[in-house]
Amino acid sequence: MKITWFPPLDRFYGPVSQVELDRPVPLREILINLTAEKKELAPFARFSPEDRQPHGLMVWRAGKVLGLDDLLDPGDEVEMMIMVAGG
Amino acid sequence: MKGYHYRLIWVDLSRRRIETRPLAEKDAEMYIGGGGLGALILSRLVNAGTDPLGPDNPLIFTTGPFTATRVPAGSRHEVIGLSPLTGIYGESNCGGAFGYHFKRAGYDGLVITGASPEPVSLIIDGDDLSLEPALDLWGKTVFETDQILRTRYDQGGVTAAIGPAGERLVSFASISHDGRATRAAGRCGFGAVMGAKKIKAILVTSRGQAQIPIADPEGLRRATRAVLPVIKEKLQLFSQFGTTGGVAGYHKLGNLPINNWRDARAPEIAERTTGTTMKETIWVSRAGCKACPIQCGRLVENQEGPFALDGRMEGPEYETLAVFGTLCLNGSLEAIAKANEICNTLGLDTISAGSVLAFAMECVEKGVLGPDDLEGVDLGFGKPEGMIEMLGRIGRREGALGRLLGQGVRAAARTIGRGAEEFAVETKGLEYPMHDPRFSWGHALSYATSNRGACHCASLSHMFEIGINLPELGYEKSVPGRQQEGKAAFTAVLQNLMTLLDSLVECKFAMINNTLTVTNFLDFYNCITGRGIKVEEFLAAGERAFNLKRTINNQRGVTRKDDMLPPRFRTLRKKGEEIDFGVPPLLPLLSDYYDVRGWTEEGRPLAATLERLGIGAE
Repeated sequence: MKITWFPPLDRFYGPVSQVELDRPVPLREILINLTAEKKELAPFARFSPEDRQPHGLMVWRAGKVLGLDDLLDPGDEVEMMIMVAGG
Repeated sequence: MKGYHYRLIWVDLSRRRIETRPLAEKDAEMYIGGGGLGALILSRLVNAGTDPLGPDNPLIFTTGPFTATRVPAGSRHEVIGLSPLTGIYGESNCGGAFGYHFKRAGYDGLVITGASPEPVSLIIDGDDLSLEPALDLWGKTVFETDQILRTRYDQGGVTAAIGPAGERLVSFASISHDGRATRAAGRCGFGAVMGAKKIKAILVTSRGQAQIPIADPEGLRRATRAVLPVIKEKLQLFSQFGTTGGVAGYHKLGNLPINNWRDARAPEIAERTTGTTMKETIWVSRAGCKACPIQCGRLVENQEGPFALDGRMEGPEYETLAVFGTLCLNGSLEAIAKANEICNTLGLDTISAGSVLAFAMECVEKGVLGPDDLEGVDLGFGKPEGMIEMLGRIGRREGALGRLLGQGVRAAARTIGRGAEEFAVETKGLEYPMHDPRFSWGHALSYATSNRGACHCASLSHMFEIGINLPELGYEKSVPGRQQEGKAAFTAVLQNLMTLLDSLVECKFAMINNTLTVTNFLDFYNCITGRGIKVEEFLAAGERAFNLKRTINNQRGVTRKDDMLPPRFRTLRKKGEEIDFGVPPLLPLLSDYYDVRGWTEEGRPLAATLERLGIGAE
């Protein structure tokens, strides 16, 4: 699966990175693995059991924002950017 | 019932009389405080013919049971009255320190009636209340006024002041609070109401020590302590970036308005004006409201170039970034910060000010305004120098165009004519906040039906549609943004909840990321008041206040015809890379909504609805 990182998240992984998947995996699980790998990502990608979205990260696939329970396929291309609520 | 002082300050400027009057416990029970209580007081003082700029329009400041207690993000206040911008019910919610000190001075609210022949300031120092001459302050900016008053009376005091825009009756003049640490009651033009009453400022000293009676102090301590780590955990990023962190994400989602709402994409401008860029450029430090653990505000500084700032000051929020940024096709963060400074010092609502500028830019683009109209200003999309120059003229009410635009988009479009109303983006006279109703149909419906006109805070639909749950209200998951089914009922629930928060008075950002919940708010409320009510009765207070505000508007002629979206959102799809949003199906949504609300087809609450809610029985 290909991830395009938007600033300032590109500092951690570069502008593009790959995640090897052998099956469809929920976004929740992917974020847990990514933050275990890079602690700097944790403030953006953390979430609680009741949440549908991570607290500070938007994951975007083919024009749609993904929720934590959405499945990602090995061939998917997603974009990840900081998402803090504006009001 | 605890949580109140049961004291209101009443000022009659015409007679120079100040007195305190009791707040009836029944009123506090039914309308809670803040916007609900303010609406109740307003409903008793105005009629269909009351002129918003006349002496009979009261200007009301209210706190709520949460104000100045241990409740996190609860020290806000509300300003209520008839709006000179819209001619109907108006209210503005404001953070900072003013509400905290006002309540600690020993009062629940302030009602200002009449008009003074000469400029005055109201000084609130515990039980000592006085009107002081303010002729020397007339013409001063907000920052100057704040500095002078605090030097004169109490350096630790806090002010609510108007600048030249309010004095000169700009229709969207704001009331700026807390001086350079600006928190504004921006929307609805209450700065002009203060200007018409010739009240330049209100100062509340820091000497107020009135204790707020709490029914169960230990329970409140326990309940608030329990949520503090949750706030720290879930709102860490929001604290870091504040609302500015929304620009890039909302651009991606299609929520961000661009080019006076015509375009779907402006990636370079969005990137240059978002919170992460601000953090690396003009950002200095975090800031925030009194006694708030979130601290989502920020201080900025820029000493160089044509948009240099006059010292360190409160930085632009999301709405301000978007309205002076992508809406005007301006990618200069420094120019946005300068526009923010002008609004804060002259006393202007940033949303209305930026919107009227974008409207004027489109007038220029379409040839509706010509070179002779512009009086030498190079006004147009992507021209920050012209934007800044015209903004100053609006705030100072200089020149024919500055005076015209200072009346707001609706009035300006009607005067200009020649098709300008087609791209005037307002509902009930209030310019649109920076959340696209084609992205969120909940917002579309709420903009159309919100009591003060196009208001995002009336439902905050975009946030709930993206990811906030309301299990206590039957919504484990929200109704998606562009789903018609169930939208009317969900929007009404959100409006009732937001009206409740405006009555308590609690910051809505505390709900982001499912941080504080309805259960938390009810727990705090019951600990403070000792009432022990259930969630249904709690929410009914929000529904009651929403409907009361509607009846004030009905009295002033508001019906279904006014619950409308502007032509731009009725005719223009939002289309761009990965985005293709149709226009919202407003008419069917509106019919569903009236049914849910218990209103007639003309948008008036049925007698049975008013009776169920106890409206008119106070």
